[in-house]
Amino acid sequence: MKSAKIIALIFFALCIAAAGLYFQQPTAKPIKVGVLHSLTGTMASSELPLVDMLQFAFEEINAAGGLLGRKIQPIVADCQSDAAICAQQAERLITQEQVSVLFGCWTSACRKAVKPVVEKHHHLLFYPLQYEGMEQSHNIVYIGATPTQQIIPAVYWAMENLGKDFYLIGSDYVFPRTANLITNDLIASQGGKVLGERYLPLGSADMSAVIADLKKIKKAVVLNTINGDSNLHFFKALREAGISAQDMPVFSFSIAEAGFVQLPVVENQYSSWSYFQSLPGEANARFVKAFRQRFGAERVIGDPMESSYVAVKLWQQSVLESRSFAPEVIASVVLNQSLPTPGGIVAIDSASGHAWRVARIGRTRSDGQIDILWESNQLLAPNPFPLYRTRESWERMLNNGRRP
Amino acid sequence: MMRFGISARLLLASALVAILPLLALQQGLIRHFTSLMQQETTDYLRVIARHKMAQIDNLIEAQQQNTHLLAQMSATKTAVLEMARLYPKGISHPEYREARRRYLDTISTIGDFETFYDIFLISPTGEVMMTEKEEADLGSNLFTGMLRNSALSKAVSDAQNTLSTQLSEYVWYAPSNAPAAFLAAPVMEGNRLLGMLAIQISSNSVNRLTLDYSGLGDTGEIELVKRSGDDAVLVAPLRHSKEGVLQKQFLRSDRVLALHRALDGETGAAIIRQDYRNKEILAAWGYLPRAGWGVVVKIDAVEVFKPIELMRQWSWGLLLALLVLSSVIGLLIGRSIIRPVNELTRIAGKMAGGSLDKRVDVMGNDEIGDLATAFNTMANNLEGTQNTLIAERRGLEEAVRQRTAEIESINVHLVQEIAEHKTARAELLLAETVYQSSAQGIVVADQNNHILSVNPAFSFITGFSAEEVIGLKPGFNSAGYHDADFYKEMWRAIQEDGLWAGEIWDRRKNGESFSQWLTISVVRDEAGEISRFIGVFTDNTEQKQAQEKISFHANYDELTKLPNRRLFQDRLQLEIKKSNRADAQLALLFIDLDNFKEVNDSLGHEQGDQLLRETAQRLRDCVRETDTVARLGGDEFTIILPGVKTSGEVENIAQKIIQSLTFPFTLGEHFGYVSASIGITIYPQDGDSSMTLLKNADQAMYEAKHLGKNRFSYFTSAMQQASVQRLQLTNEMREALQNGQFEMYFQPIHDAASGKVTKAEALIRWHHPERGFVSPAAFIPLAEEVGLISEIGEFAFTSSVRRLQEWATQLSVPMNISVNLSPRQISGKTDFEAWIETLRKAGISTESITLEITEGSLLDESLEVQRNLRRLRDAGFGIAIDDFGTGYSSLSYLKKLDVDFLKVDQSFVRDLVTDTNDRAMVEAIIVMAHKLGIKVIAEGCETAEVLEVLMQAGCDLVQGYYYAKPMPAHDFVRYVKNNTI
Repeated sequence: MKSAKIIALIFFALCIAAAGLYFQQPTAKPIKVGVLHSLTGTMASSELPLVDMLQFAFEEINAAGGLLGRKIQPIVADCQSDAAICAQQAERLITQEQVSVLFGCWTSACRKAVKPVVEKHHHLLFYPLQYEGMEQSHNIVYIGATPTQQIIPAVYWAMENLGKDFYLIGSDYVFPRTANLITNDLIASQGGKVLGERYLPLGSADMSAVIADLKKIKKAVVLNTINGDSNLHFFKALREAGISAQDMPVFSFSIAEAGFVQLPVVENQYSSWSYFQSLPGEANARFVKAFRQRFGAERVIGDPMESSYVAVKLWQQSVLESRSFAPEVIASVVLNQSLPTPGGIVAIDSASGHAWRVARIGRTRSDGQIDILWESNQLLAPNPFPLYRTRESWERMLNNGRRP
Repeated sequence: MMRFGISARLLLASALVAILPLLALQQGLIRHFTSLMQQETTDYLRVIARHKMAQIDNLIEAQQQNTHLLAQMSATKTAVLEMARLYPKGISHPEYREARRRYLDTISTIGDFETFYDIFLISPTGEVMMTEKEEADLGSNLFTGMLRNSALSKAVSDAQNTLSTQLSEYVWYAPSNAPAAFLAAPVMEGNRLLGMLAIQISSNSVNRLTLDYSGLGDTGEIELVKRSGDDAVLVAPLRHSKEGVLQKQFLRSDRVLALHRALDGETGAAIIRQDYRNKEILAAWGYLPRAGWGVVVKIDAVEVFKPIELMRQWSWGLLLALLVLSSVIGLLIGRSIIRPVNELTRIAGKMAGGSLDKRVDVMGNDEIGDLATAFNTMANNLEGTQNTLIAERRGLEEAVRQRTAEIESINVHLVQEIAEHKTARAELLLAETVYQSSAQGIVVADQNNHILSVNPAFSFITGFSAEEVIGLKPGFNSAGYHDADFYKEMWRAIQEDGLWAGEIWDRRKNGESFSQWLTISVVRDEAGEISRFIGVFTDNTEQKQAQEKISFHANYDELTKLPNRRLFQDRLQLEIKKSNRADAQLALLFIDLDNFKEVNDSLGHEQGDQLLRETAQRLRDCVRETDTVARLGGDEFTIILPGVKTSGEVENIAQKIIQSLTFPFTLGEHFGYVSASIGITIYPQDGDSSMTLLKNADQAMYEAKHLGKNRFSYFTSAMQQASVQRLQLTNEMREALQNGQFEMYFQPIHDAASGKVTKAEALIRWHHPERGFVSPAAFIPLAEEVGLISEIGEFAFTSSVRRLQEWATQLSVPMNISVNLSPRQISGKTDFEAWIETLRKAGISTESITLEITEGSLLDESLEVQRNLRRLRDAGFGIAIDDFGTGYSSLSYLKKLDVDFLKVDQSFVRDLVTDTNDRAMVEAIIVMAHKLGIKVIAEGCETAEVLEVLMQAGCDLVQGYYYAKPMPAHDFVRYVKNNTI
């Protein structure tokens, strides 16, 4: 009698255990996502913070239980500051690692090399940087600003607030050259003057020609599209030549907060981005605090980093809506998505796959943080091909490298 | 005394065991379905929200584009200059009126005036020089006058400052006494600002989109709001509130609503506990960046979860019924256990009282059975002991009793014999009475099967008297319906089993055959040999007829309970006769469901059946009691409408049917959507027999399907004739493909600027052996319909590739051929990979082929079409949009596919010189196309004047009789050589 009771008890316990096993969710495989940035080479110092930010965004999702019950497993590939390598890495992430989505690229060269790869595989790349526009792909979501959202508002503002004479300086590659095509048109149409225009090879340290130009001109607004380390040399040369921000205010389009603090003259630099770390609002304060808790109190967040974060959030929202990780599906679902971000609302334009964003203009304080002087009171449309000239005409100009 | 006996315990246990798991299951299922339905509905709302947002955004974007285009048109530039001159003379001056009228006429051919409310021409100094509505704003100054703080003024000054098109906020506009938004664009000549053009977007066009609740049930609503500080304010009227646009505020401090989340930029969908009316809703929301508006599409939760509520009620009822049932079963099982136990108790009681001979009936092979067996064994033992005691006494008594018994038994035997004799006689009498009065016929035959006797019922049924049949064999009146095997089997059964029963057909004396149920049995003597055959039968002819009557009633369709085809035929014939007598008309509707197959395939047959049942009900609801609704099979239904007087009556009913079938069908947890194609015939015009009428209605139905489904179509004899001809032409086309009667001609396409031939359009020609040249317009549409277009398209493609190969050696300039691609080819099974392979083998680049597709193909949103087009685009084929301007010309689609060419339709080009509307249209197309990086080809250029106009407008490529007609390939080579010299 006693043994029968024990057997019944054991049987009962086994039943419960079996039911438990049956109803328990099988531990889902993590979902792989690709991170495509340069960890070494000349772009590494710019791109590493973006990798941190992506890491931060993925950890945030995983801490909340993952996506559709699966943890996110980022696969980080090193582009070695070389566009061709980046394309190979994209191919590897897609075909071998079988990632569901790619986040990455900084330079336009890199993006243009990766574009055919994602298009061939009907895959999906989130690109976080402001760039020159003139491009559109069903397989790329462009989170950063186009010139209509960054340079054009900045030039209008500069003409109203700083002066009508300009000097254009930039690195010699597609972004500065294209941006300045637009800038020239704009200044001419508003009755301003371009007193000089010069392009330096990427990484150049020789500023003598530029300084000679500026000394001759004496007073103008400098529109700076220099990229990378050359900026340090440029600002050093300005200080050594004794050119003051009073006579020659500099408007930089490729330097964010993290870059300004490294300059010899931190204060009174003009900048135009959609996101600044100093933005008011509780959402931004929480965002900055959380990131600093994870990566250190000295860390600074700039616009491209915030864009990387927004990219992950957009992808997450699209996955949740479609309940699918398939890149082909997400590429369609992400169009028309919008979401509140630390820098305000971001909405993806269904026709162009670019983001609608707020444009802001600010000036650096001595601590490298930025006082906001102006912001657009509504979201600005992303027009990869600015409307005042036809797309064909833009393409002809870009291909020939000359004025229309 | 109440006690908790076995019976009660079993009752409780069975009720618990049956009900508890079911209760758990019910709760689980309802929870599951609720979440499923919530998910389905939010997904569905998301789709609608996305669609609405795209519509609203498109509305504004299209106006933005229109404003931009209008501002660039030469007509606008001219008008601004004219107005600057004429406006100071006063707006009633005839010259001003004339210039105004001319301008408004010109632009009305381009703009979509339904969405414009008003259009403004404004001087650089802010004077409103001209408006279409001529409201109070006409003549005021936007920079200094009353309107200087208006949205119009803001848009105009922004546009003037930035030299770009600007959209204003949506606010109250006093001159129109309505809410409005404005678009303004600068009108420039080179670098000179001539003035400004502005457009007022009609609030009606926005409201129309938000007031359309189709697909949103009885409680669905669309909220369109904009920001007002932290709060929200209404932009378009609501369904459930009459409060005014731009007045109704939604305070965030009261409650954070879905619309606040939309304005925060969120895209989402969820169940929301409270909306502004404090009702629970399911909602999807999103943000429109262009206008800065939030959109919420929602539906009340009560409506969504109604089916679940029903299910909950039903399942409670079911549970209750189960509870009762299981209680009854528990009670029965309890009793089956209790009964033997009670029996044991009773017997044991009796034995205790001394009756040791009682035994318990052992019932069942179970524990209680074992108990009973053991009990009996015990009783046996007890009884055995007692018996030995008694046996000895019985031995003594036995001797005495034997003597007495011997004497008695002799007496008893005598008495018995007398009694048996009496009984036998009584039984014989009884048997005779039964035999004589039985309603069943009885035949008795001897061992040689000769009839010995028959009873009166036999004579009554068969008509043969006893005298006529005695001595005959019983099979004498067989109807001859059964074969030898039948009788062989019958005799075998009789001999071996002694019994046979079955149905058998015999003949009455009057020759009529009849069916009977016959039983034959045998009587054996003491030796076991057969001595008699006895046949007993009943006449079941009437019963059989009744059965047939029942089967006759299978005239109704099982599934829908509607008359089936047979009954329908009868009714139709009947109604035709009635109509003849009354000299009236009748209408026959042939209804076929569109998309039924898809519903059936995707949701399963059960849901398909449900849909058919529901359809039958809806059809019945659409007609009068006297009309016949029938189901012919599958998804085909017919309706007979007798006594119709006008065709309007019939059309009303057809329209009602189409309408009623468009409402979604609730199929389980899904919704099904079908539509109906209806063919209509009228008796007597469309056929004088029921067959022709039905056949013609069927054909008319196909015509309706052909015209795009979801509609009705009449049958006319002209239609029938056309169909015969089409059949003939189809067969001839098949022959033509096999016999090489088709040939590709090529029409040169010239570069407008240089005059050089750079392209050719491949056009098919049919050399018919009897009819000579047959126009493509006469057979291409038919080929599309019957699916021959793929083969014709294949032919066009391969011929063009062959020509390109030849021309590569014959011509010194590279040539590009445009091949027409029909929508059927793109959506069909054309193997485009094979095309690419063909080109690769021929050594020809895909860029040498331009595929001309229709606007329709571009707009087709099906995955197959989009994928194929993208694939062709990616492979490097050029893409041209044929007949541009005749359909819905969507800019965003052109942008998406990255089209290379637009072909302006001939109809615009032909009258270009004389018709200013056409000219404005072509001008607008060219400006727009160039803005998108697309080249424009003009077709049908016939004169030098037209060419001149086209060149002025900036057209890139020109094709037409002015240059050359389509020509055979070898002529084309000569033509190009002449052209290049």
